[in-house]
Amino acid sequence: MVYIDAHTHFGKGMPAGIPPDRVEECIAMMDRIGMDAIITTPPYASISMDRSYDEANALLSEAMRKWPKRILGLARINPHFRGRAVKRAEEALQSGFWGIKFHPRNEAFPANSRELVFPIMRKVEELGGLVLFHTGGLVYSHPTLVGDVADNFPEVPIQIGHLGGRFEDDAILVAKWFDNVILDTSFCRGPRSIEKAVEVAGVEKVVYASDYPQGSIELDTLKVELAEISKRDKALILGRNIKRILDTIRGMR
Amino acid sequence: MKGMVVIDALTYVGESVYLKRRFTAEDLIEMMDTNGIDMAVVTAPPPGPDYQRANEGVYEAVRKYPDRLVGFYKINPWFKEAELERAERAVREWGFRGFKLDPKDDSFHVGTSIVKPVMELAEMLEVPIFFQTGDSSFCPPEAIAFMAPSFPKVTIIMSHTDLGVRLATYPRLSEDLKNIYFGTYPLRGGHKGIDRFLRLITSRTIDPKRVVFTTEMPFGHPKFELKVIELSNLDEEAKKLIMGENIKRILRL
Repeated sequence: MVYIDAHTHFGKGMPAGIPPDRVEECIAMMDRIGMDAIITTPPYASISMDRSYDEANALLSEAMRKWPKRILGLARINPHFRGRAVKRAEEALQSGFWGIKFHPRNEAFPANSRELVFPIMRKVEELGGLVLFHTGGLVYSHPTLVGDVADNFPEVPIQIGHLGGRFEDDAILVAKWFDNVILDTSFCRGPRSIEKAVEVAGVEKVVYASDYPQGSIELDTLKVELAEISKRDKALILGRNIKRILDTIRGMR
Repeated sequence: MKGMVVIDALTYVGESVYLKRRFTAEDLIEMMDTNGIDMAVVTAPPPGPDYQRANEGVYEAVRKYPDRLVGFYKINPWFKEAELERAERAVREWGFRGFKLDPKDDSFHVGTSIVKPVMELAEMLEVPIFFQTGDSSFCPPEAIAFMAPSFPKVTIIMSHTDLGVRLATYPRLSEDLKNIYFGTYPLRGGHKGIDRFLRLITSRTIDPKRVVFTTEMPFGHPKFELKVIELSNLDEEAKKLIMGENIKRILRL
């Protein structure tokens, strides 16, 4: 079985008393539970004094170099830097990052901003990569805004984080409507949310994630295990779906 | 939960378009037995608009399992006087011990005048009301906060939502809203499995006397909700209150 966590965090200064991770701790944790790989990105607390993630992205890049098959990094980009943000995205994608993570709420921009987000999306479209959006807020990070991005960049695989949060039904519809949108299960409401996503959007659109270390791998895996779906569907969600997308990205490069 | 009474303060029995199959009293009892739940508050599942038959189903379930189930009468306030008369009879003659309102499923805003007579009836009959909150503009937690001080004698139980966090931040507001209690479903976990809402209890920012354990079976899964409780390091006293003592006190069981 392939077991990949599609949404985790790695970096220094994790919030709310959560200790910083060393990559060795991540790998040891993965070995303990039989996890093959994690898609990971700096947390909000890794933002530097200049409001960029340069330092945290560099730390993650180093971890990826040590463990290239198991630490699959998404560069954190603050789009308010405009031209510099596009440049950082380009450098990240060319240096082995698997894609980009946006957090519209934390950095205060609409997920579908033509001015801030689309130039970076154009770079991802050109170089290939996965784009993860935090979602769940009414302002900035509503899943329908992510749908607008997906509509404009149909070749870019886009991951809706947290299954849309409280806008779960909207997120599931966005994933149903746009071929390039997948849903991650981190912090979703429970097994029934996963069942609903599978039923409406299709099993190939759902990927297991935990938001570790803010979230719990044990609990988010339990949600998948308790969902009333087939064993095959569980295997797809726990790793095969995201592996297929990562293989496609590798093929694009 | 060894050595403590476990009462689930919100479950459903009956048919619903939102369920894959009819959830019977026997299904509920079996789930309770499997998961070590001694008693449950039970009500009619959404959607309405007319809950008469569904409420009869709840009545039958409680009559069949009087030592295990407590009925909450589901009210659709759009039916106005006729519904209020039925609700009064349900409490006085049929043994219902509380009301359930679902502003989203029955399309009414909790701040509008049609809710007021329901609150007055609850006050007269001295029964609690469970409000389904949080998911929609029909019942934002703020609307409950505006209404609750006008009915200080009515016990209001609501989904935990962000209001719990705000009450923890503003203790004076919390004093004014002493009649509000929070159901635990849906728990989502957090760092090391410790749920973010339950962490407010372990840090004593929210009084554990104000929280009642809920699974919302069959929409929620008791195994998952109980696992989060287990991982959340609540002390024994807080756990006893949340898992059963609080709802026992509210319902005078």
